[in-house]
Amino acid sequence: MNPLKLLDLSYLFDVHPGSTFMYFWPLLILFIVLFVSSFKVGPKGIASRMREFSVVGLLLTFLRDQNIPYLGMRIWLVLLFLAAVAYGIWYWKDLNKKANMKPAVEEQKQADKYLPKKKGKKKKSKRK
Amino acid sequence: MIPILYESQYISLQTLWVFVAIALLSCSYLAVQRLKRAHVNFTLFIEHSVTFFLCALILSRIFYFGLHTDAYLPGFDLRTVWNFFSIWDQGFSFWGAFIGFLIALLYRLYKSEENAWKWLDALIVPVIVGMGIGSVGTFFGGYSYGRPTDLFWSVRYEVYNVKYTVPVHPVQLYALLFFIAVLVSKRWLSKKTDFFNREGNSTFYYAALLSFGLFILEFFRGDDTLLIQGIRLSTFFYAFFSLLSAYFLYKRIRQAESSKTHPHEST
Repeated sequence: MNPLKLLDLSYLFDVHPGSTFMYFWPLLILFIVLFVSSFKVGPKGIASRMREFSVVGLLLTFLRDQNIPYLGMRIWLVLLFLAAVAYGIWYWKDLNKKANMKPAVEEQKQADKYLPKKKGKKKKSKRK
Repeated sequence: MIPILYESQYISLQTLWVFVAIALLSCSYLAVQRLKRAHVNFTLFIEHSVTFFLCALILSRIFYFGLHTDAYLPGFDLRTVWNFFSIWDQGFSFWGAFIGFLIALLYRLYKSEENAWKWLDALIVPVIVGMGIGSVGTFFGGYSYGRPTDLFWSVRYEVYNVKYTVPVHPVQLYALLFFIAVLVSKRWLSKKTDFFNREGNSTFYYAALLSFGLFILEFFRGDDTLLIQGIRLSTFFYAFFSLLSAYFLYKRIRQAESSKTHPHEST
């Protein structure tokens, strides 16, 4: 397999890419494993993203396997993986940001403890 | 497959039309029940049912005629006019009928100053049920069949109206499963959110989901129709309606969210 092919637009946008492709089984196993493991992942956001990724991936693999014109183009699977990578990077950056902000947030919480509570808030909690 | 349910010297009962009749009857029954529950003037639906039926019939024929120009319009002469009126050749388009019915209904609602959203919310479920029953009929009759495939759940038709002799996708059954999934998803979501309490939201939800699903399913179809750049004409319509209804659905979701965060601003 030549990865440089992925830079060839005519390869990516081939309307009838053919139903035989070597990465059918690896993709199928990957998406199924991801879907099943999403139920055991702790953070809810990641679990639902994993489920979405695997369901869309399974659908695209099926469309590719059936050589459905336009919907079976290679570009869709490439875009799906790019989106997953982009989400991964964003999530990692977000985690880092939260980790950096944690001491400041904790400090603020400690300081807020000594402030008088707002009256409005108290009333609301009473109503509940 | 069973394209003909019963055949004798005088009469032949085609499976597709039996299912169409069942779909129409169950659709009408369900529509009346839901309209009653929606507290609208449902007698309007019964009073003008003949007009609705005729509008649906005419538009259905026009659509079918337009989509099969190769068969009906080899050249314009008197025979073409005759071909249009010879409805016993069973050339009808479901979407033509649907649009004809919708135009007649909306016109009548506008004239009677009725709330159209309430009507559409009530009628869209019977339409989906009818489409589901109809798809069973097309499956047994060998209409709207799929592309060739080697999947283990593929079906092989041995009827004159199917051009493939190899196994094909049971695309009619995919459609049936999809309709069931759409109805179930709405029911499930209704329990989780009050979004569907606002009139018109159910219509947009169903319209967006249905047109998107049917857009995907169109690519699995193998029967002949008008093609543009190798894509079925209806695919473009589904794509357009899918985007349009998704846009309105998105707007409604945003409105619902903003009215939750700023309850006093909403009117």
